[in-house]
Amino acid sequence: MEVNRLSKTAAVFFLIIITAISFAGCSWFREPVEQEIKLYFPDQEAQFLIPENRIVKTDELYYNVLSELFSGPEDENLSVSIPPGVEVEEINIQGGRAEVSFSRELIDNHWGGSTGERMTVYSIVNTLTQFDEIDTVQILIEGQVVETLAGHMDLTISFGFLEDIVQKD
Amino acid sequence: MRQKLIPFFVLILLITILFTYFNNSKAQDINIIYNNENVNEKLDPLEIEGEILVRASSLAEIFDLELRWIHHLNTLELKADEIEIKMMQHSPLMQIGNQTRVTSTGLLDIEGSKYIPFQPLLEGLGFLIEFEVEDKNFKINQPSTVIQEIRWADDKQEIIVEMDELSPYRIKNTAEPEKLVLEIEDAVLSDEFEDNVSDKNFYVRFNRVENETALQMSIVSRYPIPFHRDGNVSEGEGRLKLSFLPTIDNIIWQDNRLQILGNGDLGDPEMFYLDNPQRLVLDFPQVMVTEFEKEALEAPFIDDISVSQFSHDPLIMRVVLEIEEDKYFNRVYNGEKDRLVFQTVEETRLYNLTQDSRSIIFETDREVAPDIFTLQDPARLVVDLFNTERSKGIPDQKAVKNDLVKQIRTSRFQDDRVRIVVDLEDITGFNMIQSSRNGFFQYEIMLSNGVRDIFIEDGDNYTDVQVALEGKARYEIEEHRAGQEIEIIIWGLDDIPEQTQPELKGLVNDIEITQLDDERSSILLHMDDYKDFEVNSIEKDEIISLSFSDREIAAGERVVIIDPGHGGFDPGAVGPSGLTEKEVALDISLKIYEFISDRVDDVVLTRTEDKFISLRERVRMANQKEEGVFVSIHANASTRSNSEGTETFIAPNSGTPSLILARDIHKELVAGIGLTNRGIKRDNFYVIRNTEMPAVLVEVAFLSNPHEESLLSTDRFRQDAAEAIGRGIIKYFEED
Repeated sequence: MEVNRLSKTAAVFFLIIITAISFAGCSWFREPVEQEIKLYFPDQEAQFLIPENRIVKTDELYYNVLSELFSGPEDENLSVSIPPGVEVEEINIQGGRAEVSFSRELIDNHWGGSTGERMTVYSIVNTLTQFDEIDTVQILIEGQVVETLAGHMDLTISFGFLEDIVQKD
Repeated sequence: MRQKLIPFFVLILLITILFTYFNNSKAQDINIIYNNENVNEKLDPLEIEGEILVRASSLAEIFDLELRWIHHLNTLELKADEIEIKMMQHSPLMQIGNQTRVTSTGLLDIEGSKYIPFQPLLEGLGFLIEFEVEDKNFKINQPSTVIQEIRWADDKQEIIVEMDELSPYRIKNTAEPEKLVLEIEDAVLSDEFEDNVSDKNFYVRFNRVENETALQMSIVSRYPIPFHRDGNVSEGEGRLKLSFLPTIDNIIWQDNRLQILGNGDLGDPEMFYLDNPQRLVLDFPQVMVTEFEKEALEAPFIDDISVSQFSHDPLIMRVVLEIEEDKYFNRVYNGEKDRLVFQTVEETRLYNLTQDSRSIIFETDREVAPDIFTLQDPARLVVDLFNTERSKGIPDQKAVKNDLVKQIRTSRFQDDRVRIVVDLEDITGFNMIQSSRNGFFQYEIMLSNGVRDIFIEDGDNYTDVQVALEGKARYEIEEHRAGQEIEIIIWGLDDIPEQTQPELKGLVNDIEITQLDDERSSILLHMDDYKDFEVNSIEKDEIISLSFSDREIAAGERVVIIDPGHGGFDPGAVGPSGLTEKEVALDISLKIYEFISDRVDDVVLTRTEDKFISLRERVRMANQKEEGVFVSIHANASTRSNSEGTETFIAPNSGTPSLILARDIHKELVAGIGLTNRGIKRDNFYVIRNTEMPAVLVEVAFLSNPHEESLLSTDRFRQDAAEAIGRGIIKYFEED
């Protein structure tokens, strides 16, 4: 009985040590921490955006999030929202406003349509504004403000999270 | 001391023996797999000196070989259907058919059984052995395909690999452009394999990929291989085809013309000339130099031809023709992409370049077609004379001092033309007069900014006045006598000739044309009573355009601005069969115009042709109207082909009138064309957000949906949609 309790204590102590070491290890080696985030993708009818959860590394959070968004949904019932070949060139956040500069392919490879354009813009905007530090998103192309993406939306202004386009449960 | 050492030595000895033993026969952890069966136990593999040996008798049994031990020769014989394999004890050589292979151990006798190296033997018999390093599995496979031949397709644009049946393959990326590597799974070469590709430019080699059953085919060339690395392999029945970029076959002189023949689309080469010696250079993008038979060219004027790969990235083939002085070639467009034709043109000479206060004059000995255009910043007039050379008297530069011209420069430009540059004080119009005398041709380019014409157009309740100029000019509009007189003041014009006085019409009572001073001309319009006028031309323009209306647009009048989406280089969305949004939007808009123009007071279209107009310009055009409604016509798209239906947008900040307009139009449209109702939505679309009037944007149907695209392609459907939208607009006015 005595021996048993002793070994239990030892085991617990050992576990604590191991846990401590592994936690300490994280900070020592600065392993990127991971975070669960939401990506907004269009539904089949392109009526609404539906969030899909994804785990990303937090080392370059916004780039990682957009890169996951660009790679498209895992759920087959959702659609891609970003045309192929687009790259994120720069992200600047100041006073709650994120200026995100994309490569020209966002315009050149876009499939058009008001709906197609809205899905693209709000999938970016809603995805980025889920973070507390981002209230609005200004989309830039090669660092410049552009009139529009596909001939409908006014991209000279910045956009905040659009509740109406997210499908209600 | 010594006694103490003995156990130590014993231990060392034991370790050595154990180590040697395991080193020699530590073959328990390998697996030999044949026909998905582990045949280890039967074969009893031993690993000695890096060679895997197996029991010969078991091997013969499993692979159905006839085995014979010839005692007096100390030789083992194994016979398959057609191949005989011989190995002599204590010899590393293995004779397979009439080939000999060297093994590291040779044949070994272990405890009375013969053991033979199994890899060279089975490979000699035509089996393929794959070694999975991680699991130490040797997998023995039968080849699944036999490669019979490698040859060029007839047009030499494809290499064809003929095989019994297709087997998985992959293109290996190599850093060397001269090398193309293809791996074909489970393949072997036929005994009768024919290589009809290797020649002095190409060399084909086959290798086994180490530890795998793939056969690696490498094609090496003296030149970079014109192969699209991102996969130009196509599969045919029992063959792989590797497609190549076009190459040139020959350069010939025929019908007094130089002809460059290729095996495919040679594209559009860039042409230019080099001096000393005179050379014509032709740069062909995306064309590769391969084997090319350059025949001696029996061409006049051409001394030599060379063909080279000028650049690999981007890929450019350069053809250089050494030609006689003063000879030039022109491309003759014959419509054939694989046969480019060039003909010589004679050189023209330029003489006597002079000028007076308003014109530039020059002469040539042959008739030419000068290419004349103006450029801005700084303002200049350019005259290009093709295949022309300057005679001795023509200076490089000539200072001129008059109101219009600062100086004249001439130069040889791009080696095939003379360029005359006239540096101007300001952009002007120009006219050219050509005449000939004594076999010479004289060209006079008149620099002027004159009035070409003045038009008055009289409509139902408006009068338009247009002053058309030869070049852009600065102008101002002044109102005198409470607007009874409108004066157009224009800078930098020639005297306006009497005959430009137009026929007086409509609201224009009289026109007075006067020269105010050296700089300014005046066109004074005496007007009848009018209610409103606007200027439709931009700040500095070639056509100054005024529009007078004889009645004001009263509150409650029905003005409609219809905005057909996209246009010009912006097609908008494109349907799966190629129908463009810009075309659909324009046609529906024109049909709306037809439908409502008699039922409202004024209809304006932001575009009436296939032309790009920025969103800002559309908004500007709409906001010129003080009253009215704005209706932008579009066709929708998304990434999914099943998205469908009709939706109408208004701006989030817009008031009730926009919403009512949207409801009227949307309701009529959904009822009229019967597609899914996606509803009225609010979003920050540029044109509806920035127009200062009730504004909607209508997405009639989805071009990305094949069914709706086919509807949108019909005249009937477009008419139905247009009339429904038109009814909605009229309903809006009637409710007002």
